[in-house]
Amino acid sequence: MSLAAKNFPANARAALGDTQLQEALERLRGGFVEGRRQVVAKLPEFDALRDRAAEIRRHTIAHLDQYLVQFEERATAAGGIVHWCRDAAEARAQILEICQAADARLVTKGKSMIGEEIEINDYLEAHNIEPVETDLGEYIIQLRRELPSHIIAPATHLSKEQVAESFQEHHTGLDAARPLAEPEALLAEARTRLRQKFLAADVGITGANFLIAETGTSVIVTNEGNGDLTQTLPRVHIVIASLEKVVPSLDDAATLLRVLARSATGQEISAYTTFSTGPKRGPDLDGPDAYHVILLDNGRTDILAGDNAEILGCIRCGACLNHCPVYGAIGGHAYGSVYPGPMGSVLTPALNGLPGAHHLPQASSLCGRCEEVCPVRLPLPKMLRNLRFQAAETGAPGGFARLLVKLWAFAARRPWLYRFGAGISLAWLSARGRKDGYLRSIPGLRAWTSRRDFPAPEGRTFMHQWKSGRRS
Amino acid sequence: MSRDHILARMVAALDATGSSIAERQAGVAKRRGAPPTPIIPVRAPADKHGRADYFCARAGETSATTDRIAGFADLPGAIAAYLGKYDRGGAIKAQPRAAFTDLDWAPLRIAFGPADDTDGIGLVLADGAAAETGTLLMMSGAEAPTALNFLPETLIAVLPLARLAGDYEGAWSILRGAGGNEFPSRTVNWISGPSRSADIEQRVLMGVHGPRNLHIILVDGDGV
Repeated sequence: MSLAAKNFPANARAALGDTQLQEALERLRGGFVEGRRQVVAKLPEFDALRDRAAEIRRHTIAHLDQYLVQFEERATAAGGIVHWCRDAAEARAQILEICQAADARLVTKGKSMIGEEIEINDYLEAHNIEPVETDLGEYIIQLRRELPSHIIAPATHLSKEQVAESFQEHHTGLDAARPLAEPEALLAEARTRLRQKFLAADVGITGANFLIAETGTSVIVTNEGNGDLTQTLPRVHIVIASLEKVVPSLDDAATLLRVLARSATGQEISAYTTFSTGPKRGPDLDGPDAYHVILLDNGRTDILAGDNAEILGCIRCGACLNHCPVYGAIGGHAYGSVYPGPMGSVLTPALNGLPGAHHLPQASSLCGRCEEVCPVRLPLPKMLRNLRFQAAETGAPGGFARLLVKLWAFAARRPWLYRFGAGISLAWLSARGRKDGYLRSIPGLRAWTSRRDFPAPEGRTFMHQWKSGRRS
Repeated sequence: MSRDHILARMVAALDATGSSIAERQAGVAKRRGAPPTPIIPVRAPADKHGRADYFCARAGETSATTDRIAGFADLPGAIAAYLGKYDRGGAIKAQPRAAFTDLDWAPLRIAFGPADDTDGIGLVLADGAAAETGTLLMMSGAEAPTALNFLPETLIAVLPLARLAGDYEGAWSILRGAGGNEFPSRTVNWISGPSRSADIEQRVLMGVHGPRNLHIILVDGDGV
């Protein structure tokens, strides 16, 4: 996974000034956030289901070795082939080997974050195999050669005009004057285009929302049905999944499905949930001849051994992105990783190492909304704090920020100095804001005051008031 | 070998949390022997017709349309009426099963077998359903090509009421008890409404890759 997370501050500044992006982020709040609120209100059992979902994920991660071996055994018994891959390079090589053995020229893909993580498309292209994303959003960003900006709505940062431009540019051989102003027209064109790819593909690659240990089954959830055409029509189906995707049983999957779509898109359930077990069987009328599952580590066993192992419970619904004030202000690309938002700010440093990603755990106000809406109750603020501690220990952030914290710590350990410093600062600020009780600017804090006024303090410290007997 | 390498790292990480392999094996066996009772939303009424009404209401919210008939003999007429109402003409491609092949379809044009790209209208029999979200369950098999659920622009699904459960767990039980097919089949499709996408400006549009229209016909008598 290539990483531009080190540019986070500059990216975030650019995103705040991007009016088109800001409009797109506004739509996200109206769509997913309001949708979730409505379906949750219709399900009194929602919180009990989240408790159970959290228990399922905790139990599975605590028994991960057992469930993965069980999954492998059942999937193999059903005729599937399971490949364990240590890192992205191994996974790419394995996928290429399967594609080449099948003489593949064209590969269709269902949406997969693991596919993004291991950058499989570039690799296949470099080996003369054409990969085609079939989720509409993924297809659009593939044409534009962009990273997804959201884990479940990859093209959410784009306007319909930008999509139309991309279609004009890439769908050659069509009338350039054709009307593409409306989303319906864009959708119809993509449908026609991708239908041909579905029918011609040699190999279909999908991700997995879950792997089910008791039956050796992989599960995908889509609204478009693209994942199903991807995995049903070609001769070979490859599932790419990271280790933590496993769950014990079909009933456990049902529980997780009850919280997944509600948390993600605000639907009661997605249009298509598909359970696949092995390749086509003798009398079946269709389906792939071969079924492969890539089990990818790529840092997961390190995470399992670390302080933030709980992040492995994440089911990638995107609720923490949708409800995060920071994500809502800057969108996904600013994070410089395929996993943005709160879950991404925990996962990216865990997968890629903290150096280079040390800005990400700082990109949170720790307001706690992510934990409030998480369907598996991940303690995201706690994990972000863990990473901040680690970053401080390893020297990041550096320079000025460290100096300020050191100064503050020096004073905080000397109450007389702290009170003295607080006293003069307050007196000065209160004098500045005497006119109407608000500060229009504070030297050194222009980044804050350029967009908002700061309420001026009343002039005396809490300690001073306490001593003078004002206690209410 | 990568498998052993990854498993060894996993075992080491889990051992470091204070659990042993033996304890983890016991933990898995214990949960399998006595799985937690599922938390099932209290939703659909228990009686057959109340449950069917609930199913239709939820399916309607997913933009599916529904109809109810008394028995399989009424199916060709109900389908002709549906296609006429929305002016959806053309031939039907149906699953090659006796429940369909035994019926008299004239004047409708119908063929039986796997799907191809030219099929405009698909006809399938649901193996189970869950009223809680208006969801159909379809197993793949010798009489049920999976692609038929996805390629046609209009999909008509027939659901015998005896196969309608209140919830997902109940629907799994119906599939397990269906006999004939090994469970789970290569593919089990849960279908809740037509194909949709909101990837362009969060506007929900139907029929992006799969069916644009999903019509579900509930059959009162079992008859299958």
